[in-house]
Amino acid sequence: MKSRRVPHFLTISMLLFIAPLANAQTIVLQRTFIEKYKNRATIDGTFIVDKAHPRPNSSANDGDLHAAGRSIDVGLPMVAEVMNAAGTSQADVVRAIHANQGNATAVPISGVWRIWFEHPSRQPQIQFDDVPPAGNTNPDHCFEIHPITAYAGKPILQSLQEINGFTPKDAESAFGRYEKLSASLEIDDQTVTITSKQVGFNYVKFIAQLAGKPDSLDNNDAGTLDGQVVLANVFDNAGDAVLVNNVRLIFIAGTGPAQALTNSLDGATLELLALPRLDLNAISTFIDAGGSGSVVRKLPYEMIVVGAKNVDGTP
Amino acid sequence: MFGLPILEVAIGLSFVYLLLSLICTTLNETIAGLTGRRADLLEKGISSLLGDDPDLKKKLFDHPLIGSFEQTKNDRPSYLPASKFALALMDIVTGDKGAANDAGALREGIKTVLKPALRTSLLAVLADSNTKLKTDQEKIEAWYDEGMDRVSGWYKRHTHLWIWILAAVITIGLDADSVHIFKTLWTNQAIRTAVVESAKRRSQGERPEALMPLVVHNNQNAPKTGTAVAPHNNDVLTKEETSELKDLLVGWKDAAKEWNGKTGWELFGLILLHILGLLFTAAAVTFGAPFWFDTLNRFMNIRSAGRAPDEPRDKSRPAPATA
Repeated sequence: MKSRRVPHFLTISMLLFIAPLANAQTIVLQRTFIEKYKNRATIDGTFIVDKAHPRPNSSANDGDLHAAGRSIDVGLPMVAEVMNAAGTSQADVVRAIHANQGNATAVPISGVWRIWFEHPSRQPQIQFDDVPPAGNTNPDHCFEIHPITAYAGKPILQSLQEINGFTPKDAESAFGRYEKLSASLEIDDQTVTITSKQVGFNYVKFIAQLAGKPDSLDNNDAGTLDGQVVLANVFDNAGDAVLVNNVRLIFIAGTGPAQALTNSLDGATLELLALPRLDLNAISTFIDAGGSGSVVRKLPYEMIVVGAKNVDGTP
Repeated sequence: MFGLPILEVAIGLSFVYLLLSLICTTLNETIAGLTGRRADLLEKGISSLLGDDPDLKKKLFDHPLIGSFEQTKNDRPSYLPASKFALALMDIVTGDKGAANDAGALREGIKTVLKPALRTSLLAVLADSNTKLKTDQEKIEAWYDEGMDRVSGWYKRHTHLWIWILAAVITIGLDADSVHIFKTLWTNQAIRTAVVESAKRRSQGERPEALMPLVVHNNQNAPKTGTAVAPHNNDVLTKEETSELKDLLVGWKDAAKEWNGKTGWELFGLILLHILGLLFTAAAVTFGAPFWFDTLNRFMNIRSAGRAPDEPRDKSRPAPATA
């Protein structure tokens, strides 16, 4: 038989997935940004509040306060959200956000960076292009600071906890969806263009068993601990069978969930409340290994843990 | 673990059929993409829905709501959501008489703008008393979805035909004679062992239709590191798999050498057997890569070296890392 090279798998992948991606969101990220934040839990910078909800969502509707605006550190249309804002415990920060709304003042902000294709735009969003002021509280965006951990110098790390009265998504629905998501990546020397379909499934509650030891995420700019990352196996709703293995869980330093992780023994089982986000570490690893050009793969994701408790008696 | 030769031959044959099916699927999708098969059938389906009215079809495809689904300015969409179709159609039909969702303007437009056959269809659609469909837009969307079910049926039939054609072309082109492959696997233990090892690696990978991850985390104590999955390898088959296929397939030159000097019934018998072997391979390839992947896994499972694809994962066994 003559030696035959089969056609390029890339072409096929693109053809197979172009149609489903037709109504997808495209973002263009700078590779320097990916490298900076691939092993970071949070982002620090300044934020101009263009529009904010007058009141936080009710607890039954997740209890978040949305503020749309701009950040020169992000360079994309974005929103920032305060968790558990429905009560009075975050009242100072909510007031500060409202006070700054529309005055074009760049105010210091810290919080968890989050890229997720939840509010797609028809037009590609290119990082560090001009970002116009937001026209409403929920503009087309796929970048969020969610949850905010500090605003205008006021830390609100304690806001990362269970949301009383709110029913999060269940593990089987949410992870079933995440696992089916595909992403088209175009990699060049400066940028990575990522296209994926719209997806929600924001807050999800699930049981996870730690699969290995946590590793620290460092804020090298500030010389402080930013958080921890650990791999875990996610279980179905009944807690009987593994749905997904080796999911990256991100814990934010100084929060209750991070303390719960510190208290956990190897292989501990935790009940978690978490938000999904794009896994920049996976994209960076792929590029470092020589990945280039265009590929269609599973959307790489990791989970930001905002609520945690041990369920196996670990102190 | 046991390694019965007949079981290893079965593994080898399943593996070869899997690889040939992968090549077949790849070629089919390439041709579908190049020829715009999906877009053709979508256009044909929409044209049929619109009563084969070329002017109306042109207006619909030129509508800004539809234009955003085209890959390039000159391309046609290969996918169109029901909501966009319904809104664009309503907008065209209502024209200047009112907003797209103005019920009165819509009905007036249907009576004046559309040709009789489509007029009758659309008025019947809007008169649908199904309580689940509350708005005119929802009713038109449901009508469109039913039409697209028909398009899906067309696409499946087209694909099936193309798979048969490509299976025959690949089998004849590569001279993939099942009888010869069986003989080689049965008599040559070195090749058989190498093929079974390669089959084992393939069976432990993702199902053929599954998307690959960018990275897998194979060191659970190092969550910041991972192994990139095939960053360079965009080919359907690995080098080893290509090499094993070469060892197993006879090739037309070698077949001709085998027939050289033979005459009469002996030659007829050899050629007939060769043709039967080719027919068997072509038929096997049409079963598709997922079928052969599952079959391969079942054989590997019997050999205690693989996991049946439908076997539930337990907590103590590592499953493929994904996230």
